[in-house]
Amino acid sequence: MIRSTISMIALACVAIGCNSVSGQQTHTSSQAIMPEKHAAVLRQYCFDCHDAASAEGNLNLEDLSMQISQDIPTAEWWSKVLAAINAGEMPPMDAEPIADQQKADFLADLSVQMVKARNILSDSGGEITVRRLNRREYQNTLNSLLGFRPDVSRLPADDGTGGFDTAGASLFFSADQFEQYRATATTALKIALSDRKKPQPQVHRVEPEQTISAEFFEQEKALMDNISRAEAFLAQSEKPPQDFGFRDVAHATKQASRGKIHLKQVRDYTRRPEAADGAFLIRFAGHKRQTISGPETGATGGRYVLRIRAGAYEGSPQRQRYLEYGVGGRKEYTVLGRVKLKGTVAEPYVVEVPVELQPGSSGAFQFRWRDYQEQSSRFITSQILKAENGIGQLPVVWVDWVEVEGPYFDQWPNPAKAKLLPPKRADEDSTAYAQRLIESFAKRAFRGRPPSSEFIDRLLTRYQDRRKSGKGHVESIIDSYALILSAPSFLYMLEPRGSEHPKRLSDQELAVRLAYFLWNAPPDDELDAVASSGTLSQPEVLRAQTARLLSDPRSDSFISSFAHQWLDMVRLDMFDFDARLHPEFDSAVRASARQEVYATIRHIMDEKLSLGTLLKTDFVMINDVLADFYGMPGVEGDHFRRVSVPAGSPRGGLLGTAAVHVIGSDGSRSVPAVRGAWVLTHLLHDPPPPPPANIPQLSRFSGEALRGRDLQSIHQEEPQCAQCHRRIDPIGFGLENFSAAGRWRDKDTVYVDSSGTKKSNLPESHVFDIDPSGTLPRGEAFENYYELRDAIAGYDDAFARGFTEHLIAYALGRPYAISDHNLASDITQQASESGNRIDAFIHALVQSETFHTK
Amino acid sequence: MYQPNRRAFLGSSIAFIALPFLESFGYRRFSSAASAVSASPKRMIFLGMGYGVTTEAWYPDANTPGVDYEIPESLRPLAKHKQDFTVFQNLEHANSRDGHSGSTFWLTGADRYAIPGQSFHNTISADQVAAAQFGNETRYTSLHLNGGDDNGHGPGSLSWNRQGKPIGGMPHPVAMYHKLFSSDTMPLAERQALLADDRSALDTVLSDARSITKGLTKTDKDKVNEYFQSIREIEVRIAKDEKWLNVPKRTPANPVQEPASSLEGIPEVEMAYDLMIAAMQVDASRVFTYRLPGDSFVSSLGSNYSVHNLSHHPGSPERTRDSILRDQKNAELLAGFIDKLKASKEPDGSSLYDQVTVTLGSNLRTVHSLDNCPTLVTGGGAGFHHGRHLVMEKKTPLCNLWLSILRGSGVQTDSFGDATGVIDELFQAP
Repeated sequence: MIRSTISMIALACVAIGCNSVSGQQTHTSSQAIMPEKHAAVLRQYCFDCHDAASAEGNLNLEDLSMQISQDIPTAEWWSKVLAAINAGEMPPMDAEPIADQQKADFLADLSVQMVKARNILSDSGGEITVRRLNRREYQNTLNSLLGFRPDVSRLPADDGTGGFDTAGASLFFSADQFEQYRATATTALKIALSDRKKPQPQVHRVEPEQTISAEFFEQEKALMDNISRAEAFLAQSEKPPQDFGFRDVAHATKQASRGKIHLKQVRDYTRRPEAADGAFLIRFAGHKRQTISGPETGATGGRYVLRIRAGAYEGSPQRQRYLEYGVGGRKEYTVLGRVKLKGTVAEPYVVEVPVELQPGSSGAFQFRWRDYQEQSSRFITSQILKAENGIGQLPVVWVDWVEVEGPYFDQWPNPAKAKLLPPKRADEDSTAYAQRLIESFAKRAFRGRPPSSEFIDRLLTRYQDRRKSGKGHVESIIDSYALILSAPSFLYMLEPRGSEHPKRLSDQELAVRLAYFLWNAPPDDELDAVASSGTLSQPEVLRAQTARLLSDPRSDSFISSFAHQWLDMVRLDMFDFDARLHPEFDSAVRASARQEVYATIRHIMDEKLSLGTLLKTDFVMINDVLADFYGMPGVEGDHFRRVSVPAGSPRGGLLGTAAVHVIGSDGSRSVPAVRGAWVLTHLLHDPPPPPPANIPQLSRFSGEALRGRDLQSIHQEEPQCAQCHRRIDPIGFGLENFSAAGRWRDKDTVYVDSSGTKKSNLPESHVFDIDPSGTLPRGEAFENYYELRDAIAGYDDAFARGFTEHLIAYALGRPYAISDHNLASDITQQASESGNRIDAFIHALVQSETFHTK
Repeated sequence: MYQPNRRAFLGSSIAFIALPFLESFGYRRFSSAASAVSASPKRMIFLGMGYGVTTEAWYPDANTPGVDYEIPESLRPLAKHKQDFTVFQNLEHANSRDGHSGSTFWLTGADRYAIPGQSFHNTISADQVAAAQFGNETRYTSLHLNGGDDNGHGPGSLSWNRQGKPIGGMPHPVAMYHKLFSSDTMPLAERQALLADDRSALDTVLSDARSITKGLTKTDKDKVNEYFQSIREIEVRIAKDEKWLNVPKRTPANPVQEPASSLEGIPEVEMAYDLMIAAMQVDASRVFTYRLPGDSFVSSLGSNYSVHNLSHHPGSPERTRDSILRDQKNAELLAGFIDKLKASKEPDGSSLYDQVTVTLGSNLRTVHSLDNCPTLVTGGGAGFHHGRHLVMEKKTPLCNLWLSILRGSGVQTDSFGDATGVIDELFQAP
């Protein structure tokens, strides 16, 4: 457990190292230098073997420069020194060990300087590498050309290479990818250019008693028959089991015993009078879920209305009064959302959900009770319930019927289709027509750059060859279009310089850079028009366009993709949660917790609030699922809205979100070191250096119940750990009032083994008081979470600086570099003059010389 | 820099992939006609476990190096094959830093931060070094299976080409089955036309690629060059496909049944091993990599844990138990694989086991540790002497093993990754 904690931070640090720089060198020298005082350590403990005369292992420390960033070989030697001392390999066993305090100081300075050296040595001097569209941008770009969001799951996700997924240098290209792009584009084009007739909207009602309840009644009969035959067999000894319809004795015995268990749950279902008029959606036989299936939707997409007449038993938990709906197959479907039922079983109520399907999606609408996604969680919680009530999960929701109405279309055919396939003119032959289509599509796809004549000629030849071989016009044009969407002019955001020297972007290039920054999509018609008129680079015009792009819903894509990577939210999905310990935390809460962060940033930006609002505020942005999870009544509907929190509430700001606390947990327990490192990195802009690799396993405490603070204090035993963890861990202790799932707690319940999910009973536990007091690295003492939050809220300048550096990296598509120092300072300066509004940072960056330069 | 002529293009790509097609093809046709006298070819298989193993149960006692060691709990199903494999300690990649990537750098040993300003970098993998020399004579240069997702394996693939770009794998044995044995019902002329059409598609996008390189900076040109290299690779593949168009696919004496696409976890791995054997029997390929499935494998064992949760087993008796069960199942499947390799006879009288080197391992040990990478090697293809527990010096480059396998199998290469040499013990009788 401890081991995992430490190495988690290692990962976090590695990621930080590549797109950010610690705030600690903001004003010191531009070189990474090991302070001269540490030369004494080397002299005293290392020169015996590593002086100029001996130079064991080829390492001559006498001649090694204290300027770590001098060159890569020097930095590599220092990195080896760091690793060897950290791992306890040096000084060797038979030599004099370095005194603890000296060692801790040495390592503290060296690890900070190593991070700095790496950033100095990897500085590209501000050069922006040409960038391939990442998967998200590819999808949005196809959306703007084809009029719908195509499925791009065949393409690689472009994450996992470290840094932001906009970094041109890291976005690589492989042979497989070419084929994936071509196949994805072909599929999407076939959907976009399909000549399907417009389907008429229909209303289709499903009465689930005909399927689900009928099955229960059937099953009751079958089970009773089985049991009576089994009992009849067991009551005699002359006839063989086969005479009673069983394979063997074991088969019969099993039917008698397990059948009875199932029968209990089945009878509990069928005895309820409502079973005849509708269906209860329950969890059956341990983990099985019931599904109500609607009609097949067809591949046209369109808007639908889902109506559900249903209710939940009075007194049932709020979080269990939801239905989940999606589209796809009965077993595997894409969850589209969840709806809370307003009625009761006695007085059901019709809820309505509007849904929009993208063309190309297939399958039927599916409805299920909101339940754990993981089979093991459903099973284990059923076992716990069974131990209590002898049956297992009892019904909570009842559905009278569901109705699917649609599809409706705002426009048919999709207006994008007319642009893709304008009609043939009277005066052109089919070759001229095809050439016009290909040329016009290539120009749009290439974001205004004219395609080469050779490229067009080849496409046209392919088109003609296809027509000659008997293929149709549309099929032949799809081949050309798909190649256009797999060509480098489309896939790469090209900004040719034309010479060796940096150049100012053209207005068209600026428009592309701006649109992909704020929308992850190409410029729209208006931005295109402004760029064509040659006025976009005028500061006021650019400001107006930036503001327009930010207020458009398409900027949601920027907020989610930036925030997800900036705040390391990939950790939100890393662990399955133990449903015994955190029964309230399911996939609906997890998904909503992620959205809460995005919605909060969106709101702060739209309302022109200060960036520091993220550190502390008096409201939350939540939907009904999170309101139930946070215990805040009166929030209806799954849209995110602003809800005020009372003065004493721990909620409000990032530290009050479930997401941040889940990020700092392992699915069972909170992990203070991860939370502390997260706060240092993302809020205080003071990331701890990466921990040494391959730390020895500390498993001597397994099986013991230790409170978090005691467990973490093991970090303080070794000087090489202590030097960082004394800064990291206290912050995590200050957040111990949040459980692993992010719920508030006054006591910490620790299970001797908190990780097993096989046993139906909770393991032995100990309850500890929580001591949230501590100090921040710069000395501010805090007694509890509230004081910690207030202290952190005082770091809004550091927070703004960190935000700015990440924004630069994301927007420019390259890691933040030390040479960006002045740019970052200019941006934070300008933003602070506008009250640190989020849009002010963006405007300052967009107006900067760097943003206009290739 | 870029020639506007595809033939010149192919010319350069031949130099770089080193594929003398015509000669090798002609040679193959004659040699297969006279296969009884030719020596059996060498093969190589790499099985990547993603998240590693249960440290305390998988490694033999480090104080018992050599032949007299006790088979540890996790490897018990391999006991009867003790003479057929070598289990290592203290092999690792000095440059590995990714605690969730058991496969990404396993066969390369690359430093992902080697290029300043770039957050991801990789280099050619050992299997591809072998494939460049072994692949000339087979229909498929190398074959790759990707069971499950990146979870525990890390981004990309086990196999990385000469440019350090990932080589995609087939997601399921059923895809491999069709690749190997499905007969093409399409007439030859049509298949030829399809390949010609693919070539024309490549020529078309290349014409666009050539038009954009003007005015790009050096860095940008290097980046766009990845596109050229990718197209070049596909060209080489098409050229090879053309050579094999009228050579019918062979079926082994004991054909494998078409697997169900619903196979998941344990039976999926078993099927993959069977298909590798079948592929070697008909000499469809000599180099294989396989990212073993993770979550589905564990769940087919009856465990309720995700493979990531399972890797965090220290301290939890239940997770540890399931983790050991997972190790043992891997060992059991490998034992079965060895049995079948031994039973499959080659034309020269040897067995497939004698000609292959199978490595089971991962860049990750337990949780996120990257040292003492779990490594187990079996098969006689590289001329190794097995039956030992080789406790290497601490921090011995894992690339020393890759170099040993390559050289032992007859691949001509001076060095590999950060290898400091071959592991001499492997070539010496105990």
